[in-house]
Amino acid sequence: MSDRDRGFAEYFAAKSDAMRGTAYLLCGDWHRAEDLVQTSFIKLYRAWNRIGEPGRLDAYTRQILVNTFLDETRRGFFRREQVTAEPADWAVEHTGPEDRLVLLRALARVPARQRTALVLRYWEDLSLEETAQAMKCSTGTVKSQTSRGLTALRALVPAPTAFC
Amino acid sequence: MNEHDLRDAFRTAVTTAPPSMNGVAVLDAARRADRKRKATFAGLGAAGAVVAITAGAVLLPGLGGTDTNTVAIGAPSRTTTTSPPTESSRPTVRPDGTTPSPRDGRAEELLDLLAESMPPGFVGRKKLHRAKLFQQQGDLESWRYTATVVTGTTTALDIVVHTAGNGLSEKPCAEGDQSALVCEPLTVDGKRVWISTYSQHVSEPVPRLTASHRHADGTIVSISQSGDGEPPFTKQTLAELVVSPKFVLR
Repeated sequence: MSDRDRGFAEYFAAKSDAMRGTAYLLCGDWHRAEDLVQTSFIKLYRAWNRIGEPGRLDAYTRQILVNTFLDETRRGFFRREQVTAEPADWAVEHTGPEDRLVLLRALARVPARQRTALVLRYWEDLSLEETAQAMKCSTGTVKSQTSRGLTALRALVPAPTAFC
Repeated sequence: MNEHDLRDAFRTAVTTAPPSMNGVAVLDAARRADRKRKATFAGLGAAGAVVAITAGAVLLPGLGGTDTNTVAIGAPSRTTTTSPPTESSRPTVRPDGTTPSPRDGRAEELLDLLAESMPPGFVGRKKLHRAKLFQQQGDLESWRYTATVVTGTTTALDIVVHTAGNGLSEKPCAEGDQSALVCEPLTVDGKRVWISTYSQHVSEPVPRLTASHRHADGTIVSISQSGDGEPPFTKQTLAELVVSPKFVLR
């Protein structure tokens, strides 16, 4: 195994679960999330030798993931594919299945860029600047997208749930 | 709901994460994609070089001798130089692994089968096909093939095939699952098909209907129909389609 492959494999083992969590919140389906992560890591592998500083890897990978998600959303892929979004393949419902579903369903109806801003800000805990970099937009746009996303979520999520 | 609540809700949402992804499969896919890309670039480069040489030979007749020989020289040069780039620019059969995966071919085959399965009066436009390693236990691999066709402007048909060894539940609505899915069994030729729809109380942007069936070898075939347009299939015809052995892939 080459150094590149070894480094890539180690990085994948360390980060793929976290990236998949982010992808899941973006698209609302574990299968699709795995597709997104796999596509993103394939793109990362291509650029592996060009990424000089190891510290940039996370930001770079996240940016690929976000771009891949937004690209596919623009093509209407997710909208159609959500038809099979709940095949109950993973019937593990330990905590608050109802709330989880309510949130995911509401989140899926928030426009993709607003959803991305919410996930990056409140799941990945990125700063405004980092979010702007990942989404390739200004910090002002991140602020407005986040605010609109929250407003949309509040309108979509009924009041008597666990997170209200 | 404030930002803190949203963070909590996100954390709860991802607690149902499935087992970790197979890193070996992803590395393998990345290597394959990289080799394929390099081969494509190499092919394009070779084709460009040949075009340049051919153009040079045509545009600079002095290189080939006298003007009267131009046509005679131009013809063989085209014959001898065009065949290598044609091969290298389409690296479909290469022993070093640069070929598209056979699994991709099967996903494409699935797309063709779905498009050909439209009832009379409907034309299925091919949109997407994908193959992905779903699960691996020792030497036993289960693959997930997906394909999408659209009819009209708003109706989409999605097929998902999990090959044998997938370990999935036959019933799309798991026991105790409080999702909006409603499942009902239907029998087609003595085979049980699960029809799932979304219950009325959850507002869905588009109506959807899914039929799924576990074949004798464990392969699960699931076909969904969604959209606001005229649906090509009824519950019964969708159920009949899903039990068809033609969708059982390896």
